[in-house]
Amino acid sequence: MPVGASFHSVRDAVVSAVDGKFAETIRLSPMSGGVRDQQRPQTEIEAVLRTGGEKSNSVDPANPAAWQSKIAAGKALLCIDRTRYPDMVVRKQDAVRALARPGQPVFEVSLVDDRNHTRLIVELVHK
Amino acid sequence: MSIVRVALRISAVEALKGRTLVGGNVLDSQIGALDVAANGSLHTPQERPFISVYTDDSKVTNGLELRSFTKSGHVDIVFEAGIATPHVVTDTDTDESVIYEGVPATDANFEFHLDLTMRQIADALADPENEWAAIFNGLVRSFEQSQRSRASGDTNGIRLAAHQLKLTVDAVADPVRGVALKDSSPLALFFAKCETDLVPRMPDMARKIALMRTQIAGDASELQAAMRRYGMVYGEADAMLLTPAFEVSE
Repeated sequence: MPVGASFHSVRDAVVSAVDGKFAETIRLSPMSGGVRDQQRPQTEIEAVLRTGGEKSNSVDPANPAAWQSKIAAGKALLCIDRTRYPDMVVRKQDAVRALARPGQPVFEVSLVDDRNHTRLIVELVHK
Repeated sequence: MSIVRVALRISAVEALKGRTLVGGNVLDSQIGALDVAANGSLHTPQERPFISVYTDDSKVTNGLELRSFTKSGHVDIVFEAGIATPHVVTDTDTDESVIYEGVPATDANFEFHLDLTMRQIADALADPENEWAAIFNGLVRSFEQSQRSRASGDTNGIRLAAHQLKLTVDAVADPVRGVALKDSSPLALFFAKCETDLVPRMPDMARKIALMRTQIAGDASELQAAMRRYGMVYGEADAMLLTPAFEVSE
């Protein structure tokens, strides 16, 4: 367990209050090598999912002039309360499904910031 | 020039349909962004791995004579194949994703899919039994250059990879207006194939063929045809001794 600090109770109260208003039901499906991870079971959690507006991007943002094809997508972030889910392990390419949204869109984890002390910040791509 | 570019593009698109891993999802000059619905069960056949075909830059570097603008010169024909995370099939229970059955949607398999698709493009264009490829190749005097490039990324809301094949071809010239097409000419074969294959399933194709035919229709005399071919004004044709002698009118 991390060493406690005096502000932690306030921090936890804030995170809990925000999640109480903004969290939604998310199904996390751990993957390994493109298939279900046998070590980590599929779980449903309550977490804050933020999705940005979609926009058109070249298939090669570094060299857009050399390519014609464009594809639309928007960035998405999943923020998981670490106090509520202390043992949660999220890895690149795990699947995240927003069960509460129309069409239940599914995302793929592109990176996980697990150094933040309030939440696991999980960057997502559309899937 | 333009009519040959249209013919090159349409025949390339038709030559690839159904002959690669993308099936019928071969797009002609796609401009806007490819968008994929959030609800996987609503995905259309277009929201899948794709090939887009473009006729891009072209340059006439010799033989322009005075104003031989019907020449096609070297034309870049661009084939772009792409696959992104929303293009794969995701199981609604497990959320496991596959490109096609048994092949998970991993980075390595994206690359595999694209490499194989590119190989299939090459095979489709060189297939002696592919009538559209025969028309495409009939419009090409020689293949000057073939370039491959790739792109990938996962920072703009999707994980995607794409391959590009750019063929620089020395294309035949557009026909001169008013000179009848020979039945065996590549463009006549293209028009005939469009009429049998595409007109029944593409309502706009009949009109487009009519517009192209109108553009080259007419009954030009030899002098008119020569002047149009080289873009000469009368004085230039006269100086080249192409005009009738002693101002004898035709």
